[in-house]
Amino acid sequence: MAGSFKTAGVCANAALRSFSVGEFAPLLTILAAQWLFLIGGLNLGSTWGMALAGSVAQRLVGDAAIDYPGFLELLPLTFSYVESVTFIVLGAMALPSLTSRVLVRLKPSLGDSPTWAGRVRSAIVPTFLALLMAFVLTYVWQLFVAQNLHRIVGALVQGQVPSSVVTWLVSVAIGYAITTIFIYVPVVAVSQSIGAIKAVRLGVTEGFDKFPTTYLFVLLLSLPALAIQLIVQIGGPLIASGTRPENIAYLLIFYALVSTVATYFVWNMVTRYYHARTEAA
Amino acid sequence: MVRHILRTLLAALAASLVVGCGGGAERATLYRAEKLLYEARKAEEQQRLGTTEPDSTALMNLRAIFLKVGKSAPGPHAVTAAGEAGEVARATIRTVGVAAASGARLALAARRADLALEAAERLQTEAASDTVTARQAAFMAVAAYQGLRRYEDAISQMKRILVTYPPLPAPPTSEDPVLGIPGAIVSLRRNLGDEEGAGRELRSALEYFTGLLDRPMAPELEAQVRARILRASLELNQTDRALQEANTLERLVGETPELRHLLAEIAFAKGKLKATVERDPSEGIGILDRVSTDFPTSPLAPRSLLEAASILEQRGQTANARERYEAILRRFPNSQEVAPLALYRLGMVQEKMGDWVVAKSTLEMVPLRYPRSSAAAEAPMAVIHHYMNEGRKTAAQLYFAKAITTYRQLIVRDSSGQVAPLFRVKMFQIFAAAGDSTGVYSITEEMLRNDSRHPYTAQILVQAARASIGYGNSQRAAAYLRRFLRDYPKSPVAGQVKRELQNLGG
Repeated sequence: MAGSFKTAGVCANAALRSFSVGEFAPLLTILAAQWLFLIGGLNLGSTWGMALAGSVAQRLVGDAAIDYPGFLELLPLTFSYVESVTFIVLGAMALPSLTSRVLVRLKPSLGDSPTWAGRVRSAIVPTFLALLMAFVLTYVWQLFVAQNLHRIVGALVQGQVPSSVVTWLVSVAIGYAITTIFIYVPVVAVSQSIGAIKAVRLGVTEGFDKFPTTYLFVLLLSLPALAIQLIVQIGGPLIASGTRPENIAYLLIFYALVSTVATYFVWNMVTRYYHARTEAA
Repeated sequence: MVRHILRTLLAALAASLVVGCGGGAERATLYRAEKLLYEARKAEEQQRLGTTEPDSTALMNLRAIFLKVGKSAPGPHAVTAAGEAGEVARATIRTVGVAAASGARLALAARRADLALEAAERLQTEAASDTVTARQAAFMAVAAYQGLRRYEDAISQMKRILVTYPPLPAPPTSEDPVLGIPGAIVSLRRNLGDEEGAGRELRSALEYFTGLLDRPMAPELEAQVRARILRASLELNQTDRALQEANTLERLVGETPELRHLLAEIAFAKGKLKATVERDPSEGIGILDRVSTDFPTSPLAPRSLLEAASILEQRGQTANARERYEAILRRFPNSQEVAPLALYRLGMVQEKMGDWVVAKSTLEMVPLRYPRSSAAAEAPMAVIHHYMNEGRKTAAQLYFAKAITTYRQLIVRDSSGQVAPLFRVKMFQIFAAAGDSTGVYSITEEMLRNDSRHPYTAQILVQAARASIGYGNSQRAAAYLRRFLRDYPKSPVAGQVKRELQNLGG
């Protein structure tokens, strides 16, 4: 176990030290889509902003999400849906691409294989399925949080803010655990020339096998994004009333950037860790 | 990579178009209006949180911020359109209406009622198709007319509201402001010194409320209407009608638990009726006393004590009356409707009980504690009347100067307030009683400047003309009468004034 942690630590360190624009590029599509929504949201007073961000928010959250300042007050919630959708749809294409680029850097000969591009494309479906399953499970978990956890934590922790923070921490910890279970699916799908269902199965098995180390480093690499998310989700109403409601959107723009960078480091580290363990075996 | 990003952007745009951007421009306009309204409210909040009260320049600047809302959403708005388009148009016009109402409120606070009236009239035209906003604009116009001291126009406007907008059911603890209009008309007439007109309006109010019951309505609204009928019939001393309404209302409240807050109203009415009608008022007084203890947060709590005290005072039970006036001042000192009158009556009761030193000090306290009340106008006169009744003419004349100073201080505090004309009338009466022609002329001029078209000014013009004749200044008398005929051509005494003017050779 100690060896696993050490190897994972080395991989995380390598991921952090070897940032490459080329490897990061596939994730820009996710960031661009999220920024487009947020910038549209900041321009809801214009026809294009309303047609783009307004119509999306209205369908996701309802009519209250296109009022002022309702749109901005509800933006953390609306954006969490937009983030999930963009991550599932665009992430299904971006993550295999990112994984393949990291693997090629680690083992350049892989890129020479004539079937390599095909393997990357075929990883899209299992990645999509894995992200979708992770989303569904997280959504069910969030429903439980909304209906029960808040009440349970409220009974155990005194004070509105501490109770909200503890609820959020528990909610995020379980949410990230769910994601960690599916995290290896794109890596397995790209690394092995196998069918979608098998890739998902093997990826989930890997997720369970390497869970403690992977989970720890996923949380560590996501800390900056989590800190901003905590501020926006817990302090959102305070930001809206105490400063300008628009500041929520600006914070989320920054969060989207930090979160995308964190996604890059997480999958970079996970790919390296999977590669290192496979090579060692 | 660039191709990838472009593809994503195009997909997102296409998705948004597919998802739907119908009415996007109108929704965007509504959003802009809401944003500007939010910012205007925030600016006002900031201003109000400041250490000093905003002056008229600051208020007008705030008004300008509110007016931006209307400019950001120019009409016409398709309020009658079906579905979402109509909803968006209605929401937009209501947002503009709220901003316009805030602008009008600020204009009134900055003593620019003309601007408030202009805004109200414009909004009434622009929002004619949206009842909610048009109604709000109609109420704005009432406030603006009152600000401009165009009281008859204000009353006409209130009567228009009664005809145009039937009262709507409201949550049980609140009521539609339309229901308060007949009472507001009565109060306005009283404030204008027109007791006869107030009585007429009170009878019209009763007729209006009775007429409302002809059509089916929600039990909550029916109860509120019946409560108004009960109040009006009590004021008109229609005891049988009042008792009947109290019983009906009691039955309604029994059937609808949400109407329990009306129990105070019923108890007040029953107590007042018993205390007035029965030979021994003690049971009724007991009921009235209990209203103040059982419903301490109800506006009827201080009123019930005042009512009990007033009945006891009329029946010569001055000690019991004094006890209740003191209770009002102890328990409800901030009730602007009741406490000033209670303090004034306490002074009068103390005088009746022979304790003049205490009574005088109580009466002198009225203008100090309640400077914006009509009781503040009556109290110094009560001191003068006491001296006159005792035949102490010199003491009364010596008190004239003190009373004048008191009134002057009250006017300085709130020169455009609702009671200021009454303070000036009292000053006129003192100057006239003292035979001070300079005082009479100067206060008349002051009223013409400040209270133009006010009914009190009409009375003062006639009295000043007659006093001027007495002072040997017929030219000034003729000028006052001409001014009367110009400003009050429809007055019932216009014919008599014309004759007086002819006698002066005008």
